[in-house]
Amino acid sequence: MPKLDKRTINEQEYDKPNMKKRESKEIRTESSEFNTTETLMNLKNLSVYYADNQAVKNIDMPIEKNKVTAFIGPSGCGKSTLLRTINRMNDQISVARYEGEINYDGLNILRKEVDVVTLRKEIGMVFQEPNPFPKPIKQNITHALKFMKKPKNEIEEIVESSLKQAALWEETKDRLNNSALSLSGGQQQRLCIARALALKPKVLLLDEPTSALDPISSAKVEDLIMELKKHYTIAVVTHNMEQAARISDNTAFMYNGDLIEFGETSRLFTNPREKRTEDYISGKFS
Amino acid sequence: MQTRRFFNEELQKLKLDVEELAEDTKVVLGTAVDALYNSDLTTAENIIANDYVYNEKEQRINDAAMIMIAKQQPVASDLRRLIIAIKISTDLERMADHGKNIAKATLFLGDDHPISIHPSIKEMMKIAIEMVDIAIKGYHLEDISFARLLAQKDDQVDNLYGQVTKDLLELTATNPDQIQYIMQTAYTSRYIERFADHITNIGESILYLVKGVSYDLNE
Repeated sequence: MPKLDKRTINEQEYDKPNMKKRESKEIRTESSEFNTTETLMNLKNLSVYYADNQAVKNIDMPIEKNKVTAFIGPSGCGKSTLLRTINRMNDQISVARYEGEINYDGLNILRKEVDVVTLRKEIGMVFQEPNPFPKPIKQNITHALKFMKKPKNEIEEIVESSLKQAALWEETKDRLNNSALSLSGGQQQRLCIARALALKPKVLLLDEPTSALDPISSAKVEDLIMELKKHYTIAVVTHNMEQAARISDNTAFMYNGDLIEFGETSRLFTNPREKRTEDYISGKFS
Repeated sequence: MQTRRFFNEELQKLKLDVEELAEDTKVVLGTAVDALYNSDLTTAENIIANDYVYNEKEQRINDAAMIMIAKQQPVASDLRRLIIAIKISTDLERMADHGKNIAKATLFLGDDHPISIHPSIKEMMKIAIEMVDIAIKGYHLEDISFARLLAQKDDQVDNLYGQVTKDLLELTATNPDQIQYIMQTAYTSRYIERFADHITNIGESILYLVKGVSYDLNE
């Protein structure tokens, strides 16, 4: 009996009459009403360079609305660069430049004339280390709102709604004037998420949001992400494979600046198409 | 550089345990059918007494797979390997049960029953054992080229089962006083047919292991 290479098998080989594929082969891990596939953002032939070094290479992929998209890959693969490109954070790096497009709301947001301040209101970002302002909890939320000259009564409402959305209200409502630095690491990270939510963004970018947190705090942030996707579109960079599998709807695996594989998380983590994806998510990467 | 060496070794050990249980089912079926033809009640009793061994082996495979899932958080083909080891060992344990059921039928018939055992039952047993060999090889090599052959062999067993049932039904009409004995041999052919169905399930499991997609070999 000849041994066949399992990755070069012709699919038709198995569609013989007595080897019928079962119909319900697609694995769905959820059945919520948010299980839509509307594309909010489209990355088109996107490349990012730091001087001559191409950190992100000709990437095409959608970011689906009200879904969590996880970016995974080894250190230096370009996933954080890609995430930072989505709200033009790389503009602050003088040697950074882009090619290609990120189409969002009918606009290529990489065009020079796009106002990045307005863009970042729509596309908020939270970083790896919690970085609250060394100010009272409440001021962390109101700081940007005052800058935007929002009316006082509206600001009060936003403080409460943002903290509630970030699942932090109950823990902080009686000490809003205490320093944000008095909060635990996990609470500080949720405060940073609340701060981003206060600007009513449509997209949240999370760059390894739980890597500095203990397991309980990480679990709370993960629950929060699952809750927030009802109202926001979320893209998250994570080194934690199990976390990507738990919280994301779609996963993009990047390696050396290339997008190796992109697809539904439930499929990618059970039956990846690419050997490099399989080796990476199985911890066998060499 | 190979990583996760210890996990890979554990996976390999689990695979060998599954293959060992599969070899056991061949012995159980072959011995049970021989005992049936020879009215060997001692052997039949031994088969029944030793059935716990296969139950325990199945349990050990399931426990080992569960521990690996919990401790190693496997994904993709590694996850499928563990899930499939659990599924296959369940099928194998049921196959051993069918061998035990044949031994029970042998005891029921006793050593001075008036009927001769239908020759096709032995033929069914031989094909079923061939199917186990094919499935073990496919599982060991993670080779799916065997799948069609397994489906064809299962059809052969099904056809023989149909013939045996038909012949025995006719026999009951002409020998109504022997109906209880004839029924026991009919049950025996049914046990082998079920045994073969479980091997077909195993074939489907191996297809899923390799391809990550479910197939139905029974249609």
